[in-house]
Amino acid sequence: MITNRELQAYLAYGRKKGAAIEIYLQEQQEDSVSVRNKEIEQVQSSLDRGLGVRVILGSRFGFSYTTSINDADIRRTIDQALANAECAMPDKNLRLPIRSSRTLSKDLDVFDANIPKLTAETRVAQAKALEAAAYAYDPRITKTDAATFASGMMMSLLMNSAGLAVTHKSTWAGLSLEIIAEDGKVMEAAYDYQYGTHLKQISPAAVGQNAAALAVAALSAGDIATGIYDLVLPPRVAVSLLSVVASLFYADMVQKKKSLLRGKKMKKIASPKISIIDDPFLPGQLGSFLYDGEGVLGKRTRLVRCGVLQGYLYDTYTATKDKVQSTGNAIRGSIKAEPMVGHSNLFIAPGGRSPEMLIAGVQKGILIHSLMGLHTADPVSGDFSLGATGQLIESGKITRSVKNMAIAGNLLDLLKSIVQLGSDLEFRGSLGSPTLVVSGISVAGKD
Amino acid sequence: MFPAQEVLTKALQLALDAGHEFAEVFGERLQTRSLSLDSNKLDKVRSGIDAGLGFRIINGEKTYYGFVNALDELSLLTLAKEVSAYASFKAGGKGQLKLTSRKVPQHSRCELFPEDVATARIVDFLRTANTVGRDFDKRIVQMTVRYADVSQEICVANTLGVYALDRRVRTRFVAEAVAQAGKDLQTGFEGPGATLGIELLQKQTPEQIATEAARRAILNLEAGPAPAGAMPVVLAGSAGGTMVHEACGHALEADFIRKKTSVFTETLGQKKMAECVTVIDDGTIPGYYGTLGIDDEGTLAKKNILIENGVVLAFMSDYLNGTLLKMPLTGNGRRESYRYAPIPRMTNTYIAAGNSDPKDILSSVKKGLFVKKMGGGQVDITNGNFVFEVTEGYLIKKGKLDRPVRGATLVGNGVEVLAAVDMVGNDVSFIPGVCGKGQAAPVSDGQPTLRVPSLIVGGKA
Repeated sequence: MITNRELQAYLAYGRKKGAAIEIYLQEQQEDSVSVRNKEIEQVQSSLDRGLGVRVILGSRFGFSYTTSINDADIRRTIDQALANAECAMPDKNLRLPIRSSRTLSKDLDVFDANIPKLTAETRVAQAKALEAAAYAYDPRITKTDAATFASGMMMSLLMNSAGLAVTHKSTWAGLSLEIIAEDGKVMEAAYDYQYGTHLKQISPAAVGQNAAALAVAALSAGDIATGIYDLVLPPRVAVSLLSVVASLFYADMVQKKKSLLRGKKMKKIASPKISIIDDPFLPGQLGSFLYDGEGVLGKRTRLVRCGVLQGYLYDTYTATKDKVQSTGNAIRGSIKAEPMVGHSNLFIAPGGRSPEMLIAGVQKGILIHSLMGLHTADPVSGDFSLGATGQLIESGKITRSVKNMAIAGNLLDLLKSIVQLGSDLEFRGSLGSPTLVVSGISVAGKD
Repeated sequence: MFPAQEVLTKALQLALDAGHEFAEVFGERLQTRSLSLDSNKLDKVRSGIDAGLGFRIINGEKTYYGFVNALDELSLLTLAKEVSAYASFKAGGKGQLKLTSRKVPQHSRCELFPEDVATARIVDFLRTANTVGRDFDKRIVQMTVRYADVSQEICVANTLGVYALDRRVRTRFVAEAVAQAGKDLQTGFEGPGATLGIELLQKQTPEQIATEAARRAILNLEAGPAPAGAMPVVLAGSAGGTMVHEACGHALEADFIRKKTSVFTETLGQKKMAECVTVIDDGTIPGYYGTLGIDDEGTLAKKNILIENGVVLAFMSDYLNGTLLKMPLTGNGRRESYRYAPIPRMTNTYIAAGNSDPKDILSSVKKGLFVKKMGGGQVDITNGNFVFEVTEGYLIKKGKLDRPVRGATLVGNGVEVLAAVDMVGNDVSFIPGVCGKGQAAPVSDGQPTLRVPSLIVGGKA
């Protein structure tokens, strides 16, 4: 990669042209193996590099990127960012963060030294163990779409002309499995996955069994009558809904009138049992960092306390606009775009009951196994309408599997209707939730 | 820019000499530009270049893949050696490779290439759209207008002797409006896209795109909740093809057929759908968002009839799955970038026109839902269950359009729904979209007006 000294020279090149400039370099090593029917199906290995340049020229923003990291292409990319800035409109709130007076040296435990040392054989063995766990669970497991083990390492370097320099280094490993169950008449697929920063956080046996259990349960699924039900959302499903809710806290969405939490600070937006926190300092989590995507020191932010909205997530630009401090929530998706407001580890704080106890307390409800069409949920209106599968709960007991249903509602109504929380907080990627019980949801069935 | 023919031959020969069965080089240089105008401010102008080479080896059912962020000879030869070393294989009997250059047809005739259009000119289009959208109604409180163009140059060479170069251009213009009344916020979207340059905006102007987005946001503000439960549904010819894309498109992709995980496994020649249903995937329609000269394996794009009068005729294939299934290559091997091995993907997928008058289809339904425009969708290809979003919908009352409804997703089973379709209109039209199947792919989907006797409507009323 490029040395700090070389990067300084490029910053100077941009500064000479009158711009505040930031350069972000990223390098990712990734290795994956997919297995099907005990045989290797795909092996992939790669090292992906790139660089993104953000400039502010006369209060105008410009951005450019390249995957070709040599002197001529880096200078061309800086020139291109400057040319792009010429086309943008000025905005006095634009600025690059300066180096924080406060530094934090804290081991976030996001680098597993075992991951770079993994051999091809170990990766194959993990993928095979994942597939085998599903087949061992039930004889009705008959086919595999793909059983994949993947791992990688990410390194980044961020420097800006205001004197800031930040590096980040982390590892990750993950399992994903799509498996098929058949009973002679019906064929059903199910998917499950697990990712972590450390190898010890993922378990082929757990993912394999869980995917198999979901597929087998779906085999006997029948229709359901249209009506009002309580929904039990296990962490895997709750997190998929939380991924839509998370963007409501982003200050850019709020400022652009695209979040229904606009103007609701210190107002009740969820059930009093709900607390939502964004915490970049959780050890060993995938969303953890010391400094955010523009080099600002991260911060634990309580977004919702006992159902009341406490505030939003900010980067430097949105914070300047609202005359507050950045919460350190500038997140980089890739080298191809500037950092944008996002979350670190965002989670719903757990309650005190086991998931079994929660189910036992439901009179007429559905334990949701999967939701379909989540990408169509509208974060602006909060309206969602989703396909779903699951198991019917009658008088506290799971009685049968159900399918062919659609669930409609509004995200805010849903947050207000959460009546119980489990003790089983689980992270999926950078989002976490315990099991949730939501009361009185409209479910459309075939009858 | 890309490695010369001799260099490509040398890299591929390395894999053959190591005993591998099939090898392929995919080179790509992608130049992107995007602008966005938000909150009355043209605040984001971005551009960049992403270039690299992917190297793939296939032995039987096994694939080995690697890539580099470079296009030079040394990087390619190093990559070819590395990927060749992932596994040992003895195919035997391979001689000296000879590449033959393939002529690539240009179905979409791009008039203005991205480099011919100054960024400043695009700024004007965005400003116009913003003003028009906001002036549409005083309840429009926010407009986001985005423009993106892409110029993708590709180079494919493989050990079957295929060698082809192509350049693809794609342009998209998207308007999103937010309307507010009291506490109620609703959105409207319109986003044409084409394998053309900025001349795309002559067919549908920035003013028209912004107006359509604003109109839809206001309509959703005035709309009542959608009903909940099963009912007859009329999908308008203008609604786009999300339903066909999800209900049967994905399940007709050859990778799911080979793995026997699709509902259409071993159904060739069988009648699975209504007589009036013919489904086609056509990568050659001039200007459409999914149109290609060649796919990302160098196979010429084609018009493939997948379902004819309800009978399953063909699956969409790539080299790996087509070869293993002993089926013809259909020109559907696509990849998001040089970072990925190709997989079977749709291009422009549609239900062919029938002979009913769309007006007769609407008037035949006493009580149900009329879908004027569909949004995104999703499918489970194993059981065939799918969902799609309605972004503009109305209740049908006694064969006529009644009040608008909002926030509905429709749920159905692909085979059941397409077996039950009983009226097909004579009015096909397409909507562009980006399909996600682990990798993103630009596609378009279309259909004529259709009557579906029963779909589950996921509303709140």
